[in-house]
Amino acid sequence: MKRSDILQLLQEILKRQGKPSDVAETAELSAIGFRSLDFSELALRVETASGRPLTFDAAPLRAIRTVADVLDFLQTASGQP
Amino acid sequence: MSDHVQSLISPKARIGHNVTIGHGCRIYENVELGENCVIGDCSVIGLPAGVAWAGKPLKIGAGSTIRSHAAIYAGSEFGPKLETGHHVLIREGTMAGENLRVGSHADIEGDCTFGDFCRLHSYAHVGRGSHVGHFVWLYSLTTLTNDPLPPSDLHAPVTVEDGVVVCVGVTLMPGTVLRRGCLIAAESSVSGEVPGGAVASGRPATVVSHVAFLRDLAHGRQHPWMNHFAAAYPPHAQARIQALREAILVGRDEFVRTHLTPKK
Repeated sequence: MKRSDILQLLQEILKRQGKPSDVAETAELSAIGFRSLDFSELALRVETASGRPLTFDAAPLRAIRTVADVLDFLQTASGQP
Repeated sequence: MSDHVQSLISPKARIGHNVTIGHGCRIYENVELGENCVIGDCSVIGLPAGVAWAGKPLKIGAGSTIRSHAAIYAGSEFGPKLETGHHVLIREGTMAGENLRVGSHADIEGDCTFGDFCRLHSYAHVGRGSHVGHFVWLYSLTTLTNDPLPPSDLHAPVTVEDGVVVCVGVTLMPGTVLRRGCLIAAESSVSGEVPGGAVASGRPATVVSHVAFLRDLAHGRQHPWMNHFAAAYPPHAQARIQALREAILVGRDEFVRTHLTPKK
């Protein structure tokens, strides 16, 4: 799944919650109100959209602080870096 | 037994070896305390039960710790290593397995069942008739209701299956069923049935994901919680915890197919 498509899904989740959705990749998740719960929804939607199971084992076990970190993580987990 | 001066202990109570009872307690006659229990100051143990449970004993398993100012009614039975905080109320007809932990000021209204290793944090309220499985977490201010038409004598108790996590401030409406391993996000209000492994959030709660996708962003810890918190349980519980984890994850793909429609 393309990085821009994942970003679009992330923006949709933020928009639905009434949060600013025009976010830069450098934006801190805490600053834009993107929570673990939102991450779980995004991951599910990425898997559903791509039609391929995400493999979190393949993704690095580290802190995810920015939008770019989310996109990196989910691209790796979907096997499409 | 030691330190029981100023407490009223019925001579008919069956007190196990090496039990410590604090000051100002009352232990009624229908009580059986296993060995090595500790009863905190000003606790009332074995209060007479209502009609349905009249004459039934209160059995508290070995190695239990009841902290001060608890009130526990007769007609209940607890496995070993029950632990309560302060000011806990547990009404009659409560049946619990091993190592139930009940936080301070929690309130269990009776006719309830709990499996092994359940955790109730402070101020949890468990309505009468609730059924709670094994390895369940009910965080602070969780409310399990049971009256579908208050006030009434109707009962629609809540069912919480094995491995469920209910986060802080959640309300479970009458008749709610939480299937195995689901997680309810903080401050949600839930009714109906939440599928196994689901993550549900909101007031009213909707299913937003599966616990297999839930990750702590700051530390990289991954749900289900058995991945990173199994060590909090004793060795003899480990096989059951891992079996529970597997059961939750096995259901992941079917869950994605059958329970979720991506939001547009």
